[in-house]
Amino acid sequence: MITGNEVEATIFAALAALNTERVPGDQIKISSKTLLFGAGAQLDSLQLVSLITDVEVALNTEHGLEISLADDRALERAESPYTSVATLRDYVLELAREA
Amino acid sequence: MPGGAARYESRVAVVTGARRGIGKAIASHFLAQGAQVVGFARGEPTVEHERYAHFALDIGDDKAVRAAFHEIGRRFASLDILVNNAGVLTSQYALLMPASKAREMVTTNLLGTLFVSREAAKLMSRRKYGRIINIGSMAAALEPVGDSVYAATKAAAMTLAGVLAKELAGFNITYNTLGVTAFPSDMLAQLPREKIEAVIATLPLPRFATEDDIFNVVDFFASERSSYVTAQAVFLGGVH
Repeated sequence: MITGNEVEATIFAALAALNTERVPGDQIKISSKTLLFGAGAQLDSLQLVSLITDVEVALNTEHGLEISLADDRALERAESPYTSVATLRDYVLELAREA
Repeated sequence: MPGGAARYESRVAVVTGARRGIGKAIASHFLAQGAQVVGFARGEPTVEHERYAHFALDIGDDKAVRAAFHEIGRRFASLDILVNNAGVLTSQYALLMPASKAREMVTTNLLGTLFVSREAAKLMSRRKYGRIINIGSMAAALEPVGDSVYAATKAAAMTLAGVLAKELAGFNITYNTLGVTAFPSDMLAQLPREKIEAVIATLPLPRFATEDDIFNVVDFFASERSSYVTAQAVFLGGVH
């Protein structure tokens, strides 16, 4: 079973990849609290799509975890699982337990 | 060696509807020019080649599609080309069209195209490279009697291509449509010969499409050099 640290490391790696495409003065500050979606988010919509996609593919190729981060439940939640690194990590762990 | 015998060497291509007709022809064309090809179809494979892998699945089943792409992501270093060719056709006057047949066309021709494109784009986006080609139909433009739902799904798939071309442009993924005219295939054989010939007679270039007509445009859209070509639909035979 994948751990929270492993999930977080995967998300951090995807954020680091996004930083390579941003100018030095506009780098995403990467931590568990980094806001991804909604008020105060550091990502635009295309970058959020890129992040979710990158994380999903990396979880599959590097950890053998076959989940879809864009399922119906993700859209129906009162608080989006994409709100922050922490909420995304927790959502991945929730899906992983069911996989 | 762009344009040469190994045009697709080291490329990985997914072709849907790869068991027969246009899909099988394109899969064989890619293989002959060096590609690794993954075919999707509801039945067992009809292509035999050391660089051919097959998934027997229904593209309208999003879970099956996702599982297949998970496997492709693990097995191959990249995904470069997707050809959305799979389609179903029931030709019938709308007043007599069974709901199940209409639903099947929407599920396969439109939603299936979405499901496959979405999962392919996830893999392509990681390397910031991809070429997606929809195999469209002259029915979308000519709106022939008896093909209401089929033509509508093909027109919808072109609209889908136009929107996805915008959404995927930031990932350096192009998305275009090749609209084919009548091509000798099992699908075409379902239609009365006189109906096909009557439609062909109205075309500016009144003949059946050949494999080479199709490969010519597929190669153009799939080329690395076509990085500035997206959201386009090219019809064969002068259809517009």
